[in-house]
Amino acid sequence: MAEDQYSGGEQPTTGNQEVTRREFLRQMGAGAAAVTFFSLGVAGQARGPAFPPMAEATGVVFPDPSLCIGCLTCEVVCSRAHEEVGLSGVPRIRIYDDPSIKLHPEIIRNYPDRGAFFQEPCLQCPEAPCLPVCPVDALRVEPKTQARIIDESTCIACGRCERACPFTAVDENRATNREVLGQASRITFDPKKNVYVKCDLCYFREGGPACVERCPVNIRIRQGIVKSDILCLDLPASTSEVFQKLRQQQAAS
Amino acid sequence: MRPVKYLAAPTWRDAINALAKYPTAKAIAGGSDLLGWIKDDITGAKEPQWDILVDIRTIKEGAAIRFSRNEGLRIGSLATLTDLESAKEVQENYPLLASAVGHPASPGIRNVGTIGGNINQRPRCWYLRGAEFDCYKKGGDFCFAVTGKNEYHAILEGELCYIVHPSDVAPALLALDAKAKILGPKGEKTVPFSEYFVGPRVDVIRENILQHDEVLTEIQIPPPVPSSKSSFLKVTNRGVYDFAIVNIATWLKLNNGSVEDSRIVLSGVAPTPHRSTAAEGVIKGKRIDEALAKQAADQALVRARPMSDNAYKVEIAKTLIRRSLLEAAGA
Repeated sequence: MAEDQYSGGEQPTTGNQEVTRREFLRQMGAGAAAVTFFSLGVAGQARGPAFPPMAEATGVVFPDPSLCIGCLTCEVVCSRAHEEVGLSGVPRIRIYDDPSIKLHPEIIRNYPDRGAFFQEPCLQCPEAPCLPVCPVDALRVEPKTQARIIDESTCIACGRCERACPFTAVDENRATNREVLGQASRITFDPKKNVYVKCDLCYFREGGPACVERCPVNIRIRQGIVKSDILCLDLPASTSEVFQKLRQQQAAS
Repeated sequence: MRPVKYLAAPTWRDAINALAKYPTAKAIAGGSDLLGWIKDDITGAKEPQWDILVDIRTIKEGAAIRFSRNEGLRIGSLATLTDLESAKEVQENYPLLASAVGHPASPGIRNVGTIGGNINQRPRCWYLRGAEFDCYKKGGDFCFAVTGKNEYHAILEGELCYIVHPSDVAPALLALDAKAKILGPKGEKTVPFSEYFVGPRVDVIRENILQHDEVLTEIQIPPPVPSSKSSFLKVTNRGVYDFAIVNIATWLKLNNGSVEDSRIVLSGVAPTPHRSTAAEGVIKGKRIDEALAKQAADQALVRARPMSDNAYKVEIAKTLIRRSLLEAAGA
C-alpha cells in the first residue's frame, strides 16, 4: 500500500531513487569518501545530523505575497486534492493576514479594502532536514517529483520532522481563516489521522500542485485579465538559487 | 422546464425512502426555490438534473406548530412562513422569529414557502445560478466571484467559494438557540442550528449537513427566556421582495439593564449564517449605549475581507449591528 501510494505517475517506484535513513546510514558506513563529502558542506544548512545527498525537487511552490487576495482557494483545494486520494486533509499551504505586505498595483486597484496576506508553503529544502530525523523512514523523496513527502501509512506521529523543519509558522491567530491547527513549522500534525503532513507537490496529481493550478489570481493572469509578469503562486524548479530566494522571503515573515 | 416525475409522500419515512432510492430525486414543498433552480437548468458534475420531485406537502402533521411553556416551540418544517407570522404563540413568545419570517420575498411566496425551505434554500450567487458557470458548488473548479462581479458576495469567512447564506429565518433560529430535527435512513437526530450550516471548506457542494436522503422535519426552539430582548433588521436593494444584502437577528438577555448573555447573528455576509462572537464579547456585562454599540459593530467586522465590489457591505453590516443592539436594548 505504502509503495503504491506514491508510485503515482508513469514512473515505477525504484527503491534506489529514494533516500531512506537506512540507506543514509549505509552510505555513511561507506568510508572516508562519504565523510569528506559531507564535511565539505554540501549539506548546506546542517542542523543536527549530516544530510544525505538528495535530488532537488522538480518544483517548489513559490508565492508572491503582493498578488495574494487571501481568497484561501489554495488552502482549501490543497485539502480537497489530498482528501480525494485518501490522504490527510490538513492544508499544506497556509495564508496569514499581514498588513506589512506591499501589494501589486493591480490588486490595490481591484481589492482596495481586502487586506494583505502572507503565504507559508513548504520550501522543499534541497537538503531537507525533516528527512533524516524520521525513525521509521516515513519521510522520503518521491521519485517522480522529488518532493519531500511523508508516507502517511508509515508515519508514527513522533513529531521529529516537525521540530526539524527550520521554517516556523507565524502566530496562528493571524491565520486568515483563524483555524488553529497547532502549527509550529511547515509540517503539521493531523489529529484525525494521527499523522504529520507536509507539502508533497501533489505528486499524485496530473496537473501538479492543486494550489498553483487553481489559484484564481494565477488563472486570471494566465488569461491576461490580471496584468502581471509574475504569478501569485509559481512553481519554479527547486534550484539552490530559488531556494535561497524563497528562504529569504519566508524568513522575513 | 424539462419534464419531471412527481411522487407524493404520505409520510416522512416514504419521503426519505424515495430520496434514498432515486439519486436525482428532490423533496419539494413550496417549490419557490427548487422550481426556479430546475427551470434555470443548474447542473454540473456534482449537481444532478433533478427529475423526480418528492412532494412532502402531503405529509400530515408536517406543518404543525406547537407551543408549551416547558418545551418551547416545535415547528413542523412544512409550516409556511405566513403560518408562523400569523401564529399567536409565535407573535407572543418569539417576536424575533415572528419578525424574521415576515421578511423573505413577498406575501404570495410566504404563503407557499415553508420554514424548512427557507432554511435549506440554495444561495443566490449569480454564477451559481447561471447555467454557463461551472463553479465549485456544481462540481466545477473555479469561483467566478473571486475575480468577477461580487457586489453581493461574502465579506467574512469566504474561502474557495464566496456565496452568502440567503436565509432571513436562519439567523433568527441561531439567535434563539434553536435545534433541527433531522430524519434519515438511520433514524432521527437533533442538531443545534449552530452546527447545521457548513461552509465551503467542510463541503462546498452543500450549505448544511443534510445528506441527500435526509430531511429537516422539525425546528425546536427553547422556551422563551424572561428578560430577553430581540431585534431583526434587514437591508435590501428593493423596498420589498428581495434577498438581504445584510440581515441581523439579535437576542439579548439583560440583567438590571446590563447584557448577561447575547447572540448576534448575521446573514448575507458569509457562506453560513455568521454568529458574531466578537460583537457579543464587547457587550457582555455592559449596558448598551450608542458608543458601546458602535464598538461592538467595529469589532464584529475587524476580520472582514471585502472583495472587489462589496466593501460597502462592511459599512452596512456595522450599521445594522449598531442599530440592532440599540433597538433590542431599547437604548
